[in-house]
Amino acid sequence: MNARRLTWKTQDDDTLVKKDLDFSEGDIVTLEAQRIRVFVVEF
Amino acid sequence: MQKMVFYFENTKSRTGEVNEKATVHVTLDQDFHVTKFDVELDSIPGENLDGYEITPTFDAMNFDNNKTFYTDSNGLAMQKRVLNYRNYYDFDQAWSDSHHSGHNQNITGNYYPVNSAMTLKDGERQFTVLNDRTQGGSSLQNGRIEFMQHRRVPADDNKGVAEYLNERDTDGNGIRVPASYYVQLGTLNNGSIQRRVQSKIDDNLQYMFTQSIESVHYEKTENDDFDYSSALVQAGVSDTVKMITIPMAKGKFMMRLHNIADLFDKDAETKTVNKTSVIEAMWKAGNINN
Repeated sequence: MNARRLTWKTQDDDTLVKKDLDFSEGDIVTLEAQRIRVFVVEF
Repeated sequence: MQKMVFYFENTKSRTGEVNEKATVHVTLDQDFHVTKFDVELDSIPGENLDGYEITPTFDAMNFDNNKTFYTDSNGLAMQKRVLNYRNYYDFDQAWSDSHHSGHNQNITGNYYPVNSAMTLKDGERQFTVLNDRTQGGSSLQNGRIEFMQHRRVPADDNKGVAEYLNERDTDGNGIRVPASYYVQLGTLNNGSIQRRVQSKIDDNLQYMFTQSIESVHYEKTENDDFDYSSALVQAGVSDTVKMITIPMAKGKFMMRLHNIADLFDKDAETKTVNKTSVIEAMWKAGNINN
């Protein structure tokens, strides 16, 4: 299934600052330019 | 505010007295150093079988963008376009027109979808026009930006759709299309405000009015002085950070944080948001009267 997963990259992917995608340890979300981060909030 | 009126030649309005016209209101934006052009188009005449295409054009004088322009893609990133050129196929061959010798459809082939903005660069100078809706657009001459605001072709153009491009209102007249444009001419060093202006266009301030708040039964609570907007700004949701929340189920929602700053701009900055503070602010705002 993983092999059939659709993947893509934008032309300027290499200019984006790479960050660890795990935010479970802190409250601070880092948003580089053009970055979108999505969270599910349950209460 | 400046107001300009342009009349279409040889046409009469539905009353038959005044020519159909385009009215342009020019204002300076209150928040940003951009000039706003509101272009109100009357119906396009439907008499000419060849049809009409109305394109507001914006010219920067003595501006050499070297046949290169940039169009926005889905409000996310600027895409480089070069006049009469594609790197993945032969433009002249692909757009050749056997019905018109010596003509390679170099207007059609150079039109691109523009979701929010088109920009030109000349050295350190930058010329940007933002639109308030998705339109086709191009830069067919140096220093020029044009958008397709409205078209009317009351005949089949034999391109396969087999349908006239002839949108009419309930009275049978051609529809009227108003649109707004925001123009910025500046230097790269000053930084671009394109994405901030786009944010203002897309998510404009909503005004709400009520007749008499005193007649509504209202008990003051300790949260009354709580300012939701300020709390969000303090948590980092400001400037180029855009937040969208979408309910998913009871007690569950999606929070989407997006930094709309564009790497195309020199001053694109990384932002930080304290997501716990955002959620706390939401909770407080949602429980003001409880």
